[in-house]
Amino acid sequence: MAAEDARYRQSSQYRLWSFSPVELATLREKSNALAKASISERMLSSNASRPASGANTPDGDATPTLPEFLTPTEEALLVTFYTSEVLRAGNHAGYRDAIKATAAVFFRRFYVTNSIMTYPPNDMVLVTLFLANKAEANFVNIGEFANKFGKKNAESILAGEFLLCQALRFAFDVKHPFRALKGAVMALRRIGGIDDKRINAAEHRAHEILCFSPLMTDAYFHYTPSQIMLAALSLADRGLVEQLIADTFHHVSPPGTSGPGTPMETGDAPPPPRRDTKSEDKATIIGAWIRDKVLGTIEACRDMLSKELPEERREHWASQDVFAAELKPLRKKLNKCRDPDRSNLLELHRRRREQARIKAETEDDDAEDRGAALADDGAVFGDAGPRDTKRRKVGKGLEDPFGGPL
Amino acid sequence: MNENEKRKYIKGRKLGEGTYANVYLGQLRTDPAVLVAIKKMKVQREQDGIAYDAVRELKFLQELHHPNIVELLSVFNSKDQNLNLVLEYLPLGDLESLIRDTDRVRYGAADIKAWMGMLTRAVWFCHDNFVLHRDIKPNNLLIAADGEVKLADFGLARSFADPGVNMTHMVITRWYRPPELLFGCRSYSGAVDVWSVGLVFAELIIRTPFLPGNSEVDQINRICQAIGTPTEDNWPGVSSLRSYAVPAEVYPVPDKKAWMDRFGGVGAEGVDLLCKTLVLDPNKRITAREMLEHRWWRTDPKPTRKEDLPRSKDDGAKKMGADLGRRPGAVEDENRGSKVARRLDFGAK
Amino acid sequence: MSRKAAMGGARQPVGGATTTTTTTSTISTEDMCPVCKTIRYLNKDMEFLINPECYHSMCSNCVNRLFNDGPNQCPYAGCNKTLRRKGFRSAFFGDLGVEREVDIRRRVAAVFNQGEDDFETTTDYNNYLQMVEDLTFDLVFGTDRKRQEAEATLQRWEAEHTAQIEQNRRQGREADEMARRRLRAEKDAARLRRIEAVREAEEEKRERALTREAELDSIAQAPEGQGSSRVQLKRRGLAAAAGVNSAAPVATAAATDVGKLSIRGLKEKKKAVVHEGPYDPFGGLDFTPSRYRLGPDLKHQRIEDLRATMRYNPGGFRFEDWTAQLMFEAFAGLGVFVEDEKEVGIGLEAGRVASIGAGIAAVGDRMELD
Repeated sequence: MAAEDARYRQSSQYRLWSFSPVELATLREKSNALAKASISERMLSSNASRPASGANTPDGDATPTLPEFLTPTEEALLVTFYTSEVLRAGNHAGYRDAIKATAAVFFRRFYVTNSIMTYPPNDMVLVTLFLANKAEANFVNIGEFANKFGKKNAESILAGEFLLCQALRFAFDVKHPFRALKGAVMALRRIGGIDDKRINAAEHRAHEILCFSPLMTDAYFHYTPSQIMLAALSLADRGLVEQLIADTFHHVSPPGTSGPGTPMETGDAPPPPRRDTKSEDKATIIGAWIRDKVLGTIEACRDMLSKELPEERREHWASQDVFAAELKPLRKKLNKCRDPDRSNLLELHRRRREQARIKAETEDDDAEDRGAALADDGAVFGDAGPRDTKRRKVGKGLEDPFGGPL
Repeated sequence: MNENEKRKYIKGRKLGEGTYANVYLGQLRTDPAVLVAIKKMKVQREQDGIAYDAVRELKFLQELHHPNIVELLSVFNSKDQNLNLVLEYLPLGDLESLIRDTDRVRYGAADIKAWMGMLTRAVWFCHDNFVLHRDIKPNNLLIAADGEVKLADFGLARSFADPGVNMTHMVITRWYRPPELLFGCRSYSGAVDVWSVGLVFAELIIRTPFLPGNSEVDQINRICQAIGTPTEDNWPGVSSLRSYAVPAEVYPVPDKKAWMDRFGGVGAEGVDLLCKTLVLDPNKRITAREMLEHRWWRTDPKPTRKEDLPRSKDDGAKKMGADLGRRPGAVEDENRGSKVARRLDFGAK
Repeated sequence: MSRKAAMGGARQPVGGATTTTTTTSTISTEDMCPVCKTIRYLNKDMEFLINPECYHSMCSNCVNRLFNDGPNQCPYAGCNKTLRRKGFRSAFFGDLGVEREVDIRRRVAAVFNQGEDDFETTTDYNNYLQMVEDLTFDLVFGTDRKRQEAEATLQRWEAEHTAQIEQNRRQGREADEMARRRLRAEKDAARLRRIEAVREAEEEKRERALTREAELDSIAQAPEGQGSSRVQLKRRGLAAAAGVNSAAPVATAAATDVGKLSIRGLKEKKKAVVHEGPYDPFGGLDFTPSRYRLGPDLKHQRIEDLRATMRYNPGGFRFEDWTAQLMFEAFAGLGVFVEDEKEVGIGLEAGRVASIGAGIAAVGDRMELD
């Protein structure tokens, strides 16, 4: 096993945030289904508990029927659009590549386990950017940050921060392909015999791609940064990648051990064990079989990236026509079906903090966890018994926006 | 998911209290014999949302897995938006209390070598993963039940910066801070951690902090006196650092004999290694990897096995505030065993 | 230690030592030195010394008189051993025969100091013991020739196996130390347990009072009744913690067999290995990259540009580190195939992950699914 592969497998990106396409699709469907279910409940019961009082205008529903919910595909489209918004905001603020990319990845990860119907994407755009700065060791003052984007109320950004942390499972380290690209360039130079200009041009183009395409697709979930980088480089200059791979995977197994007709060519299983263990190790790491597999993977990633190349797609996502035609209807749909309790992050955040403050004042820390585990689940929404509307206890918690002492 | 994680652990008594975090003893629900430490952090302290050190701690503990680095088992949050970090339980306190307890704890060169090995390995692992710890001191070196030393507290850590990206120079506790940081440098390397390691090494030997400056100016003075004044001769480019300021008197770098006089307990090889970590110019300072390749590890005495290392006479958890209720006079009984009558042994010479 | 005991003329030591038979003198040998014939009445603190060369006893005055100026012949008739002053010591046993045998046994044991753990089976150990005993018997009671042979064997054995002997000696010492430590640790553990028991009893009383209050509280909220079970678990946890602290791991010198040892007259025997192998400062980890190689020939324009602008590098920023990082990231995970490795069900369960969102949304709402 290659040492560098083993080390990558230790990362949280691999352990927690890498999936097979099937897995990822399943996750998204589940989030979608769960959101639908819970929003339906809320809408129905909120309608029920509010007796028909004349001029009552419940959230987007004049009748007790449910709105049309977003399908997973539509959700995915919206997520992609908003990811481009994240990048656009990052560009506007002049942040480093790594910060922008981390924010985009945070955004996508958030909407794997949460539905876009539950938490509004508009607010989350800036939240991810804010947290990405922290994760990348860039100190930002919340006031200045808010100002950059013309937002007067900084609290709305802070409101979603903890939520984002939870959704990310507190895995803040995102591995990007930018440095990897420089490494590849060094390795190429060392091979020798390649024109410098060609390498520079390829690097430049690949970098351009990496700042956009992988983030606008699910590449980070299915491929490692090294593979993404090589895919981008391949789009820039296929020949260079072929040379690099050939140079890296140069081990030739001794004769009689591997041949074209052997079952391993199907690519399902690693080569059967051989007597010569040293050669066996080398074959699994830099032999022909693994080389072909790597090439195949890079090819697949290349295909994925090619669907969101910077020149074409930036325009696509920024264009007003596209917006009007594709996205606006979805946004409208979203507005109708969003979770009424959670659409306002700020409210949610304040209420939770208020509840925490009350808790801290009346009991000590231990008691809070001891018997009250299930007791105050509903307390955030102000009920001690069966579910109630949220309107009741809002008035209490508005004095101190940053919450009281813990 | 969060609920699942939370239910995995049962929170027990409080072990310690701090400004920003409380530590509780915990158990695995499925196996109550497995103990953990649950660190409950108040994450939203400042105006700027989630605290930076919480972010850093979480970020690096999730990525770094090594026997000499404290292990993060799980994270979950409680309803009041407090963060609970489930860490491995390290009951034997930290290295600082061991060093300071000169009355009751004795240790020798082999023990120092064992501890230094663990510390250096931890630092090497961080650097190999391109992470700077930036707060190495005996206080942050916790001891596990089997005697293994673990590096903890990644609240000041960060990944290596790309060239041209500035880092803060206000890191590392003053006594363990290297000269380049005291001079305000913004672009540095793992050498800052190596300097701290060197000072921990010195402290292990002389059992008191080697350079306990009470201000940054005082710290620079002490470095000059003990290790030599940084000048353009021994450190090209130093005078261009923005906060470069040294006392008028230029102290020379002490010779080997002076080091041997003070630190000779670990032998000539040990002193050689120590000197290499306390080189003024970070470009010439030894790296963590090179430290592990030094001759000292191969000379006698062999490092003590971790099970046999001296242990704190206090209950480690006591250090964090809990009291097991031990009688104050319990220590004297320790020596009674040695007065057991000797077995007659005709075979022995 | 001066010997005041009787000289024990009951047993006649055979071979190598001839005692002068006392005459029909009424004065016992204890009170009269056979060499100078001084009696205790004349020399109250008369002390008898022996020399292990021939185990002949004489009073300290004689010893000084005869041997202070250098080596001399033993004054006993028929014994022509050359003795030296420093060889003389007082005998521990009254019976000189016993003294001699004990000395011999001590010498043999110093050389043949294998323990039971060094042998594969008990039979082998017994065989070894038999061999040693035979040798000892020859040394103590054998004829002159037998004795010399045995002596030669002993010498040769000692010469051949000095290292091993030394090792066994050290092991023996260590084992003693371990035993002592174990005793001490057990004492401590017992003491701790006693203290714990007392404290727990007090704690229990306090807990009972607390839980009663807590139960009253929890009735007001959700009647879960977790209070009492918590207390029990707490105590269990404490007991577990005490157990962790008081256990004293004792590592006896492990005997692993490495190589066989063949000696004359013996069957199989295993050698004890104490060494655990040399100390590896890296702790067994090796991160040497498999798919690329670091070296000074790796170049990048950015580095060259930066190096050109920096005359000195006082901060110590290491371009080598950066190069290593660039190369690492370029190749790390190249051979990791996510789709293959992450099947549904392995790793993060899809169902559970999906409920992260639901779980978070569920906070504050009992009706949510988790």
